[in-house]
Amino acid sequence: MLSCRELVNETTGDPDLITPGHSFRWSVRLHLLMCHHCRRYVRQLRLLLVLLTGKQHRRQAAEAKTVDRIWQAIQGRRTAE
Amino acid sequence: MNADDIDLSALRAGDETVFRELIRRYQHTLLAVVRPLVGEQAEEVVQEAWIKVHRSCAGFEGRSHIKTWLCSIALNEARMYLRRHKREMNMTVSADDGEDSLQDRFKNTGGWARPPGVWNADSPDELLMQDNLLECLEKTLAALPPNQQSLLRLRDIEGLPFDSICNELDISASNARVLLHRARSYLYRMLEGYEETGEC
Repeated sequence: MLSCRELVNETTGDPDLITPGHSFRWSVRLHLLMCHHCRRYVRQLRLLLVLLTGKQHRRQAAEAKTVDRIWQAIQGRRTAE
Repeated sequence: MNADDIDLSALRAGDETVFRELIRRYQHTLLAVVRPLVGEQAEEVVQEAWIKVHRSCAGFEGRSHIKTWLCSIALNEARMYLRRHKREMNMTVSADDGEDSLQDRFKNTGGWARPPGVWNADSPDELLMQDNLLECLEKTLAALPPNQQSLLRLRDIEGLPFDSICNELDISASNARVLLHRARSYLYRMLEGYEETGEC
């Protein structure tokens, strides 16, 4: 039987924690079934990850002047070469 | 932002409008990805990365997601920049990375000594209603060691495939999990503290 510490160690470093369709291995699922503290922890951790993923969606596009600057740098390098 | 509507054939053919759209969409992503590694030189490094992208887009086959491909070029550019300045992209796991932020929460037996409390906000939408939270999150992210920050940004914010990240950062999957664990537990503690006190 996994301890709470082991469960936290395993789930916190799980790169696929919020990948759709992801499921934990049997011993993690069993522990979660019995331990409401760990269930709460995993739910809160997932909440954090959803918040982080949302950062990407809230990101603004680059301004036109930035796009121009980069495009000019590309053209300048092509001419130089 | 959806990358799926980027016209890859036009991109390969060197279409200026499509390339400009690519810059518009991904400039901030690339900056966020390389900044933990090169700091204030991020703009310069990313501009150089765009030059490389432009040179090689004719050969982009679309086997990976375009964002993964762009990040890979930007990270490579960051690596070259560091090399030119006699520095390394240090992705090793060390004691300097900080302790595991959650270890003091457990008893010796492995059970919770201080279990997670109930949060006022229990959904992403509710959390987002809290004015300063995103600012706190960004501040906490920026305070993470560069290796943890890079990994977290690439995986949890940009959603790049884990194996591609390990490959690009030249790090084993087990070390990457350790770094991810440390970064997430640090952010978790911040979020938990915020829920309790309403402050960073």
